[in-house]
Amino acid sequence: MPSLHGSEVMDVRYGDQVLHFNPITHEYHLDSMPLKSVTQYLKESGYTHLWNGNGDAATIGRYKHEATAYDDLGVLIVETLDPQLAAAVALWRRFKQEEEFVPDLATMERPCFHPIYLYGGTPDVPGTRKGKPCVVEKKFGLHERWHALQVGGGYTPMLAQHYPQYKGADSLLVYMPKDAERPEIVPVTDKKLPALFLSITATVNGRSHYGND
Amino acid sequence: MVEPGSALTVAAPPEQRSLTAAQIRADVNLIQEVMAAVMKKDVHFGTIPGTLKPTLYKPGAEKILSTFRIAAADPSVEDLSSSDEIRYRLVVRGVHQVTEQFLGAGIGECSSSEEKYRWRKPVCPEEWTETTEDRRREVWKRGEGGKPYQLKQVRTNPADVANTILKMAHKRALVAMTLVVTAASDVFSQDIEDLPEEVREAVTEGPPQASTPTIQPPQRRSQAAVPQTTNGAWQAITSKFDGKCSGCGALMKAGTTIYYNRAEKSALCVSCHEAPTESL
Repeated sequence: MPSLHGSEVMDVRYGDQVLHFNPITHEYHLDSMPLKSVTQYLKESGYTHLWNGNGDAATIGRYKHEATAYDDLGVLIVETLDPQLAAAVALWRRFKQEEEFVPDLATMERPCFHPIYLYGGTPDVPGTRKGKPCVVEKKFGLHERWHALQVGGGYTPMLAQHYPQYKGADSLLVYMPKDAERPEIVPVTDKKLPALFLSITATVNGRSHYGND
Repeated sequence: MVEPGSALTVAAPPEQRSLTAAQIRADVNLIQEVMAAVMKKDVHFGTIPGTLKPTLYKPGAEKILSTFRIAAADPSVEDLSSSDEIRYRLVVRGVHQVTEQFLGAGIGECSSSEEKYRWRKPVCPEEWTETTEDRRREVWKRGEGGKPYQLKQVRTNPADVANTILKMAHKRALVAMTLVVTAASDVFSQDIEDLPEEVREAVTEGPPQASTPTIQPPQRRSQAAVPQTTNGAWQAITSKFDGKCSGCGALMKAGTTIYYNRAEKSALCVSCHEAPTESL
């Protein structure tokens, strides 16, 4: 989540290249080359709708992301936690316990890019589930059709380019909506998603280069 | 305090017209003195949220003109009306009351097609229903706390607001002349109060502000003090300061995850910690 990264541009070194991520504008630059993000491609392709809910809901969702990430890092102060956030943290802990999920602190919330297809993104939390690598995307709202594309088509193949342990890793959506009693786990199993996502990037790039005709 | 009838710098003989910096400052100080001594906030001027300078209202303009002994003389009116619109453009001349010297002019325009004059609230629901579709509408407005709501409106008869349009054009021209003649634009803002509501919002609001949720954001302990995952003696922490990786020498910015070895007092970037021998 951007808020975990503060407000300053973050430089992440990948070999001899540096990925710059601006958490305010959500812009990625590989050295000086601008990269579109996974969500930007999905938005420009029309898969994500433009309405982002009311401001409060978006901010509360961000806080839930932060709270669960702090919990993974072991730095969350639970005593002062708002009940709404506490409920989300409880669901996340339940998921981790029941699914034996261990977050990979080295890659969680770490801006990344695809070195071949040149798109950027920040996966929520890669890790291992019952000892097997998987990439988890936390969702605190309703199901959206683009969620699977985001993690299965965009993030997991991108991570695998830099971290070999995630090659062929499972992609997982964990839904923890308000008032839910337990987290809902949705495995992303469609193997065609990476190809579909690439076709989206090609379409969006083509439109921006040659127009809509 | 301002002395009644004090000499007006701009009304000085032409050979002395060239102003020094001190004189310009004195004029500005005079206006500010008038503001402090005579003019009342929200009566003569006011500050519109989101704007830096106070906005001059018509009563305030008249006070300043009176202080500097400037008369708003001979307004010239241009009637730009059409069959479905009343539109006036006025030029107001500023003349020194004593010397009758022309000091400057201000221009102002007003039209019944402006949003705030073109539509009005219906007297009763029946009036809205009985009005033909091309002369009624439902429009979205912002209410308390920025919450949108829908409002039923019917078209205003332009003739009903003709005098208002003329007066408003005169007022705009008068305020403009006051600002020009007294060089008070550096003290007062543009006449934002006359802008249509929607335009005014756009001028004063700026970029949309992030909403303030009703819940507190999560708090975290200082991570440097808390052991997290360890790999041997290395601890994953969030760096509080900019630093260099002991492995590759890369800059590690504050706020990023790094690995810290307390015994060796050295830090590694995530890349070097995870795969110190291979380039990612």
